Amino acid sequence: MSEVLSDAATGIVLKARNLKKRFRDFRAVDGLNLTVPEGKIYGFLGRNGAGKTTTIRMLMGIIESDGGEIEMLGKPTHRLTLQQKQSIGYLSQGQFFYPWMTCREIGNFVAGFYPAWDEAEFKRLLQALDLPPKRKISALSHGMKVKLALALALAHRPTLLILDEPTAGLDPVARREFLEIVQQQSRTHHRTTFFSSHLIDEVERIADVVGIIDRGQLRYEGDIASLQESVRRIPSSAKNGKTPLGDGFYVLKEEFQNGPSCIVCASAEDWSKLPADCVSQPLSLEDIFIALTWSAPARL
Amino acid sequence: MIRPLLHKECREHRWTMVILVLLMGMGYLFLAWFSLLEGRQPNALGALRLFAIIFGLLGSILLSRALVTKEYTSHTQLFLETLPLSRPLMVAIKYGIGLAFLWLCMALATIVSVWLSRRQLDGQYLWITLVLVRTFLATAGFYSFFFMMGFLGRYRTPIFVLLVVGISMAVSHSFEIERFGPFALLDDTFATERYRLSIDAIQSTATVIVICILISYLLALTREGSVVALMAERMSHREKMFIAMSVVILVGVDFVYEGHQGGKPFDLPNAIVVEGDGVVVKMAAGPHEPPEPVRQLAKELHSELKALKTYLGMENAPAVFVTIRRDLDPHQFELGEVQRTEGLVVRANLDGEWRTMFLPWLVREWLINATQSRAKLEERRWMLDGMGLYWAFRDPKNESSPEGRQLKLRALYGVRHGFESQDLSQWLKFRERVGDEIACGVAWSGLHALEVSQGKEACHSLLQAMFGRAVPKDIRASFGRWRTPTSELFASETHLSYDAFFKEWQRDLLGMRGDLASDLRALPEITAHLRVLPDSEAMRRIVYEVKIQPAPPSGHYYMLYYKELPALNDEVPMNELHHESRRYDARSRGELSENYRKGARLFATFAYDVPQLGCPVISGWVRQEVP
Repeated sequence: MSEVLSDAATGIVLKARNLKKRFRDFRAVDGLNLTVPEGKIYGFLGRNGAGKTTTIRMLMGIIESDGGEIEMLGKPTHRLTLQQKQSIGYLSQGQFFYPWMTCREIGNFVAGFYPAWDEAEFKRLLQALDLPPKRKISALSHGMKVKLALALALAHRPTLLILDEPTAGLDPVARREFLEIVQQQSRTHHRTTFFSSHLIDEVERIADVVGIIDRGQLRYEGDIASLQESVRRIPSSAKNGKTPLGDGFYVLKEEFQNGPSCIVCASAEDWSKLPADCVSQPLSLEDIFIALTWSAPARL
Repeated sequence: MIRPLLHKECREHRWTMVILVLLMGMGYLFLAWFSLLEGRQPNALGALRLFAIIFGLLGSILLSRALVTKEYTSHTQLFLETLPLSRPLMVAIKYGIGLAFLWLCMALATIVSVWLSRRQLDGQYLWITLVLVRTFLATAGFYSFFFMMGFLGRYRTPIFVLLVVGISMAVSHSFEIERFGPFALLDDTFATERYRLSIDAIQSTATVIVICILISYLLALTREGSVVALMAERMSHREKMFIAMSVVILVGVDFVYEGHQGGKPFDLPNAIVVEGDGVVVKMAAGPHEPPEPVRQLAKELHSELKALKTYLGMENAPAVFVTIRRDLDPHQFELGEVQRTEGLVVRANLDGEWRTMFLPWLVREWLINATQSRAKLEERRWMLDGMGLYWAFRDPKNESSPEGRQLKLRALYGVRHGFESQDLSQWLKFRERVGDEIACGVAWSGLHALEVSQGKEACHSLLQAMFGRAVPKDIRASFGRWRTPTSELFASETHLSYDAFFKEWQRDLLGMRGDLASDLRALPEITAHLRVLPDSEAMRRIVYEVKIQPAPPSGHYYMLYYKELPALNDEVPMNELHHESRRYDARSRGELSENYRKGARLFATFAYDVPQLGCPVISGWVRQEVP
């Protein structure tokens, strides 16, 4: 789409404020806020059942939210317009293609809904993803179906690509291959990509920005380096959720393996005030994710 | 946006559509054959009516399943929903494609039916338009209902079963489904009504369509379609049990209710019963009627029917329930409906000589009942009409009696203006030309001629083949008759070809004429002429002139029978006709008591009682459209 559909002033492609969804008594999404900057890969990280798919389905207008606001491609939206949908490439968690179609046929079918469909790009993607055009979808493996879904999501050159746990069920090689294509597409076409996953390594590998969701709420949103700067481990025991280091340092999780230690969260300024005799250790994204989603929620 | 989805639906369901087209094609051919060749419908539009009911329903069920239910059960709607396509448009396309396919099939069937009925339709575009409107609207009604049901996912079959069970029960308790919605549009006036369209039927069908479409949209759009998606999941064991229990309870309740309502077969309370050898006669009379004559009558009737059963070699014989009603005309016999049993319910005065009038009539009705109406088929109808008199006058002594002489006179009177072999195959037309009693006399003379020519045994053998053999109560009977036409059966049983027999019949009639020529010449003839006069823009009055020659003495009465007909309706029972008795004078002109709208079909005749024949003669039935 040649039309600028991002918020030109702020460079924000997707914004959600206080988004809510409840299934009977269960709050699947509970006041979620997120902001996806233009041209970045946004890794939406969360445990199983954290509310990732529900959030994405609300963003895509597949289910209706109970409250909150969504601003998609620069426009406040309650339900996606056809034009907005035509600017989004979406890959859902499960692939429910028509089994009687071949890869080429489903491309022809989907092409009819997108004015900007690039047939040459679709053919190129099929080739690049090693998908036989004449093979029926019923004869494709799960991995091949996911690749096909990616080809379909990319062939109309969307402004925003939304991927809902795309690599679930893929073997490590296929996963790596898939992520490389997503990353390469994002870099080459300056395409905003919002993808959810519960696999930290893949988010760490390709995401520029990460959003961590837990129990329907966003615990962190920002780049990974800032997150790693804010959350560190210190070898000390905590008392009433506080370290002897004073205010500004919040304990996310206590650990007793290899001696007592705490995973502590603080601002960069507070970390700089850390006494010289106190050693802080950097953490991997996985450790931080576990600490954030381990027990009582803590917001950074 | 519409084109790719249309293309997808057509490709996805092409085999369903191909199978439907094949089924519909074969079905239409069968219905046309069954309806027209079997004479069960007045024209090919009758076949179209059956086609619209059967294949409108079947097509709607299959298409709604393919277009709606399958999309949700295979979860492919989740894929569709991710595409830039609005749900209302998706539903509209699915609805439109199924309906367009059904309408196309119905249009083709209508074209073929109109072509097959072109002689009757004769460029009457209003009639054709009515047929099209009724067919299309009824099909839309059926399809809309099943389209809606398609969104109910796993509940659609149980709901449908409950609905069918419920409607069947309601129908068995005199609920008339043919008066509602699409069924009202496809009622039995479909093939014959040329001018009117029931506004009620249109309104109720349109209501069904609108409600079903609204519910479909409501289901498809509620909670972003998640309700339909949930209903499309497989049924749990608990749900299956609940639905099975509901059906069982419903059927059980109906069974108990039915028992309460008196499910006993029909019977005549306090009737005199004479039974034996597989024949039952029950006769009831008023409380002031002396029982002995009634008992005697019942015994004689039983004896006649028992002898007939033996003569025809019948395995089963329908029971006969007779109610003696002194308020009825002595020559008037009424047939009632029997519930929950097989047999005939008859109301008659039975005052006087019952053998010459009542017995021939009863024998005919008894044989119609015993043969499940197959004896009424036109090509063999003359044998049925002759059989009553043939049986009642089977004793040779009767032939020379005054009643026997009357019979011969009736036969001769019936053929006085000509009698062709095609009158046998078009017997109902012949009956309308000469009147029932006279036609029965002619038919009797045919059996008489056969007996004279080929002997009693040949006649016996033919009548056994026609009326005595057990016939399957299903389609096999039609196939059997198709394999062996009446003429072939006749030749094989009598060793005489149909053509040769007709010559023998003519010869026999000539022989009778020799003895009775002078009597025949003296018999009066009644003729009538109808004229239509405008009463208003839309209404017409009918005036007539009737002439009886030789003119009867003054003070004699003639009868006038008439009725407005649905077009091309076949036999009309006498008790459904208006009848008036009017005094005959030299200038017998008059006017019918009723006025008719333009385009109505009038069915009328004039009759005059002739004592020498023991029955009335008629001017010939007129089926005339009011211009």
